[in-house]
Amino acid sequence: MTDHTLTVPPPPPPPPPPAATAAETAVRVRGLVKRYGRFVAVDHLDLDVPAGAVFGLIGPNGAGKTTTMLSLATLLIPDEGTVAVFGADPVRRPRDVRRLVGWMPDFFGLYDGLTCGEYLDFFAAAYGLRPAARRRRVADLLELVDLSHKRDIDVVGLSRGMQQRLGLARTLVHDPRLLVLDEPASGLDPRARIDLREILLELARQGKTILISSHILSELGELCDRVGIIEAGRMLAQGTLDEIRAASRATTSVVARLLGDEAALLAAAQAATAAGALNVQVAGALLRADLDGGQEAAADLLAALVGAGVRVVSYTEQHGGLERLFMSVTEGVVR
Amino acid sequence: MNPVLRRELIERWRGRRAVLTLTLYLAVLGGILYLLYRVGQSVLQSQFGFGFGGVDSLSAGPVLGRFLVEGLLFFILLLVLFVAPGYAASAVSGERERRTLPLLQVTLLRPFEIVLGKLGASVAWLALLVTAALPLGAAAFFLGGIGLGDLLRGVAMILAVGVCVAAMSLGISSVVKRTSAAVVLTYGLVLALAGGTAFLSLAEVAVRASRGDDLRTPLALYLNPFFGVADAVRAQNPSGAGMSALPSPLGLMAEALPGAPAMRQRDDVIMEAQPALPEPAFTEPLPIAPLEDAEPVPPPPAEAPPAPPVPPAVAAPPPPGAGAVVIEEAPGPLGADAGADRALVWLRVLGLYVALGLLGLLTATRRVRTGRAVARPRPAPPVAPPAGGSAPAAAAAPQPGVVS
Repeated sequence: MTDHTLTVPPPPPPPPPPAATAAETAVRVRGLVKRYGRFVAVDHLDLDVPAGAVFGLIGPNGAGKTTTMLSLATLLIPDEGTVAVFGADPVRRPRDVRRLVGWMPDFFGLYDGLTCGEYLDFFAAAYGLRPAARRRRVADLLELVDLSHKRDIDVVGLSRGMQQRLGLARTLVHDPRLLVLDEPASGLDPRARIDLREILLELARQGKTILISSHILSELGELCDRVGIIEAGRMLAQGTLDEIRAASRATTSVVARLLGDEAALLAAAQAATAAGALNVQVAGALLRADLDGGQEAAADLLAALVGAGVRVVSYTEQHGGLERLFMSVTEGVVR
Repeated sequence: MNPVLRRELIERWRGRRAVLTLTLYLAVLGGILYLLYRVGQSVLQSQFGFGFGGVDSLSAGPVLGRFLVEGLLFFILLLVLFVAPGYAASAVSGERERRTLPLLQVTLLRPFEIVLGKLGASVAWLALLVTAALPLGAAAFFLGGIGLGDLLRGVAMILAVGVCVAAMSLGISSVVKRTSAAVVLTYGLVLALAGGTAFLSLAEVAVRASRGDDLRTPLALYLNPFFGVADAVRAQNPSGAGMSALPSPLGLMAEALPGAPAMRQRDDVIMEAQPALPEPAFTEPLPIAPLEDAEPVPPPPAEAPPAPPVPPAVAAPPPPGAGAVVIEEAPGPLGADAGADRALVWLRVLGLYVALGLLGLLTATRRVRTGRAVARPRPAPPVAPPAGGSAPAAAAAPQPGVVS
């Protein structure tokens, strides 16, 4: 489904990475179940991440995002279901998977008393890199996350955003093909968030597959080309944003900027209501309306307005971003 | 080089803390050595002055030398026992608290590499403490009275015991969630090994004595590190051996060694007494074990006038103290047996410690494996497994050790 030339706000979605031929599957999860005692954290979850994709896992706290990611990181053994990372099973061949996956948890895990350089060097050594290769790798990574000037600074002295970037560099020491990032942007100020996004986009350009989770939806909208919406341990919908939008019964909103006096605006509102628009609101020169239907309905409304003699300056379809999408997809789920 | 070991060394040794600890440690040991020297000298002098002890001023050096070296080794061991668990107790639980353990687990490090790296850091630290103290030992060594072999064996034993205690602490640290709990538990363990065994052995001796059984080295002592070191340096209670009464703490421990005069005499007394008295247990002046502090109270002989001056023993092997051999009936073979037994004591102690240490390492390795550390998989009642795909994973789930 081709989509929305009308959308203005968010910058264009990242160009699909070169490797995104969808020929290879980076992550394939089928029927994953994980229970903690009687609590079912993940309930028959399916997940498909094509190689090269930036996949956003969205869901509220406790939805099962972290558990799913732990099983990808070989840190827990599922009760049921199969997991494959580039075809390798984390339970049976954990070392193969560990070579492929860079996992960043939703906590830092810092060693006090080490400098940034030593910290990365330690993890590079833990992945078996030789000293010479380590030195190069550490320098490159510090450069990538813009911490070269902090190489000899104690890790504890870093700001939160810097720590987060250092954590990201740590997940990259062994040059993994898949990054599994659990809530990387939580607790970051806007500036740090933008920095992080830039780095992730750069990594995506380099062809890394990225699986990223968040409960703050707007964080993912500008980054991900695919999303999965997860709630109460189940995957409610996954695919490209457009696919999900199409699958969900999302209503479309439009905003029209009109020319004319109060009477003209009132007439416009009446015309819109007559054309089937819902929740018509007029504020200043702006008219907002919700439409029960997709782009067809939006186009029809514009035609109706113009037909009724309303002078339209601008007319914009509003998706309301992921937030709205998430609400519409999850509305049927009982919490 | 093991990355974990390298990181531990950087992390723990670079700061000012390591320097301070080492300085404090050496200062304490030096102070103790000086005190021992003053005490030993004044005791010897007073004995000389009163004509006790059979030590003349010329031969006092070796007696004092052995006293000082044994005393020094005793306190080194004490400090090592104090330091080793504190260092190792935070090894795994600290990673858990800092939440770095899962980060290690997802690397290509194997669990035993992580554990050995941690142990290596403890070993390095202990080796530093012990070697740093050796010059102090040399100061005492030049007085004579102890052979180089004894000294080295004693130092090696201290190091080995320390390493094994560290390995046990690692095991505890991996089982317990919090470092504070791990520290408490490890010090509890050390207290039990060093002090608890002494109490147990006192109890054992008391029971045996009250039942009129033969006295022998209490079993619990084989778990006592001081006992092992006492044997490794071939410490003796000088008074038992007929020398002057200047017993070092290790010398007092040596009292309980098989074949030591105290043990022997009591055996002999009882053996001798039994035929004569129908109910020896009650009429016998109860030989209550003088393990720690008391002078040995073997009936009359020990109180007898000081033994003829024994050439102040350059590490005389365990033969029965010349002065105490009043009961010459002590059969020769027994003495030989006892000597052979005694030669093995420190090896047995070492064996027990190595076994306990290995147990600790194995425990830690198991606990560092994934599948346990982050979230323990529980075998759940099978819920109608959907399709064939899930079968293998479901089958694998109950085994904690599957991963890695």
